[in-house]
Amino acid sequence: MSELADFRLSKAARRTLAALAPIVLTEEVDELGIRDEVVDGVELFLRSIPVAVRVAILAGIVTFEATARAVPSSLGRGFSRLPPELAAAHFARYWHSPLGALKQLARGMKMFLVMSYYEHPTKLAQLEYHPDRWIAQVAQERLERFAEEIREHEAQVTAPLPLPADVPRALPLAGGGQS
Amino acid sequence: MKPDRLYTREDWPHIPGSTRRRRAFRKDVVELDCDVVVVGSGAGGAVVASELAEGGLNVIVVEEGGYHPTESFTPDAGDAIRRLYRDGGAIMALGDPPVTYSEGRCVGGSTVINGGMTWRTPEKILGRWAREDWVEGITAAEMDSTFQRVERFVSAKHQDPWTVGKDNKILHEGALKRDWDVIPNIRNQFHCAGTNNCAFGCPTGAKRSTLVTYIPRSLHFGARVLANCRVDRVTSQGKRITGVEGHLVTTTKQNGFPFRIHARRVVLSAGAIHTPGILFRSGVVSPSGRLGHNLSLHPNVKVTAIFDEEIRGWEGVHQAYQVREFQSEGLVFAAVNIPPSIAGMTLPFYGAELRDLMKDYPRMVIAGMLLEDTETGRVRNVAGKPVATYQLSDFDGQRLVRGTALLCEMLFGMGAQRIVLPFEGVPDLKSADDVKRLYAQKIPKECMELVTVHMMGTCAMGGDRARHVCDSWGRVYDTEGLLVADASLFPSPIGVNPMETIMALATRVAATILAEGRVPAKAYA
Repeated sequence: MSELADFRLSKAARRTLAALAPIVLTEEVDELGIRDEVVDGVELFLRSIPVAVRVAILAGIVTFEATARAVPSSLGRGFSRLPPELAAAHFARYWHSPLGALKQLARGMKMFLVMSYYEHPTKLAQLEYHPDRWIAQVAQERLERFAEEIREHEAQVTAPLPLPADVPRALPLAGGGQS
Repeated sequence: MKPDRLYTREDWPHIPGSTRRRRAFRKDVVELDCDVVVVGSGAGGAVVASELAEGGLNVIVVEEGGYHPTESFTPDAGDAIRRLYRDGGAIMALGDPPVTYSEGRCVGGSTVINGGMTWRTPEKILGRWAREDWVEGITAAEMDSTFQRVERFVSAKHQDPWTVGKDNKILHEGALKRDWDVIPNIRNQFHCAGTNNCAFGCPTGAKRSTLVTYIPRSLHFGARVLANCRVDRVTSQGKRITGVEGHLVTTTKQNGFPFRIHARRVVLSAGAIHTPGILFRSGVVSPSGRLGHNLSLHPNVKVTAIFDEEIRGWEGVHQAYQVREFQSEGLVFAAVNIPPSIAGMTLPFYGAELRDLMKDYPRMVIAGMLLEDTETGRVRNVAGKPVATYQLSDFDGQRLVRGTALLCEMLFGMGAQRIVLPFEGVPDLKSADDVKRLYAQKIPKECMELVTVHMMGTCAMGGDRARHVCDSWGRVYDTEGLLVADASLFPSPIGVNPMETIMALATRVAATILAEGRVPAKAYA
């Protein structure tokens, strides 16, 4: 069952994030052929956060794209249209900015891209990170070794056990704090 | 299969026992009746609901998050964060530095996503609460049977030794080598397999969260659980509480069906951020003026140590041990493996630097530190939502640096080759000699990367209505029939994992309600 908001990234925001991906994640993201899927992952994550935070992040992405135009060497181009070295320099300016908001924006965008990248099955396989195999193995071992105990324990979950009298409690009419 | 009496979004508006009140030009209201409505299904709410239901009361639990059974839990961290965590885990207590905090938003609450540490409240803390906050019935001796009861239900035990992974063994041996006090954690688990998936939902059910203990128990004894339902406010007539109002949580911008639950008592167990939030929205005024104050966080920092050998930190139980050597200074250490996505996200690098470091992920030991903080923050109501602010004190900042240095010394002693610090702009450490420089260095607290999962204290209990929001039994001063049962009640931070303390206090709250019986709360006011 979905717990996620009904939200889609605009084409412009997708372009900005796609252009940022090789800077944050290196060209490896293209070697693995998963750049678009990484941006899809960012969108998925944005669907889970509060509207106000999402709006702030999207405004930040628009600002990040647009402020590239103000740099003379960009020749009026937005971030997503810059050649790689100028794009990297633009992100580095944000990353090292003395202004807290710009710095936080750079960190936020990096976090979303990295989260999505290191969740991608292709990247995880490259890292040889297979927790699912480990889980399957030890879960099976647990069942084989303790099946009977587990069954008994589960049965105890709903067994009656009324509150004993020695659990501290406020006495009726004794007042407690509700005067 | 979804249990009986647990209702999710798909069941609306046809909730058994409800009536539908038609309203002109507005959505129909779904109305329900019960003796006690409990808001939240985590360590506080599920315990209260279970005890009251077994005691014969008609109980409804309202949970904002969805129902996600054990079979749905996988190692996909991103998916789990989106489904099980409030706001995707991306919430901060505002300050310089901000503190990122996480809380569960699902049936079972934060017990579904916590590490499963089950520690009694330290005796010195209980003593302080009795002495300084005039909390009744709270000494270790008085609380013993309550703790025992909780420990029985959640199966509080030491871990089976064969489930301990290499990262935890390194922490354990490193501490022993330095003659530090290191103890095996007591965890709420039944033959935990060591999947190391605690923070994303235990895929075997071995972690005894309330999802698999107190919630099934509540349902068995007749309680109803409404998942995907958000409480907007507590309703009242004068000081007497009459129930709650809220709405079904939908995935669109529009609110779902509104509901109204009529109850003689309301127990708020929405956590130390959202419980005061609901009280603010409901117009509850504490005579102490302290509602939302006194927020403690147990700020955490983590270090990432790279070893030559392969560690594979994901193989073996989460936090098998705790280093308690520096507990008197408010510092507790543990090994806390996190998946690559979160490790990469939190490391202070990008580009080739991050890529190269992440290649070493299988050789990482990630160790964390919990600080019993001395400063408090505050929860305020901003446009109907609770917003937390918190400023780390200089003293606590210095202790975090000292704790980090101690942890790094130990890890280098065990063969770490490089340690990435949680202090932005401070270079990585390459040897134990670098640690000496760390001790001497003045690190601005603004550059510290702090996280927490222990929010406490915003509706503090105690015997003084001029200082506390609730009395010793969780009853909100100056109201009739309104109680709190979660970490909001803590008068101070406790320096250890708070789940068992919450559960024990919730048991006392339930015992108090049962002692009062079915009659309206005002009879005792």
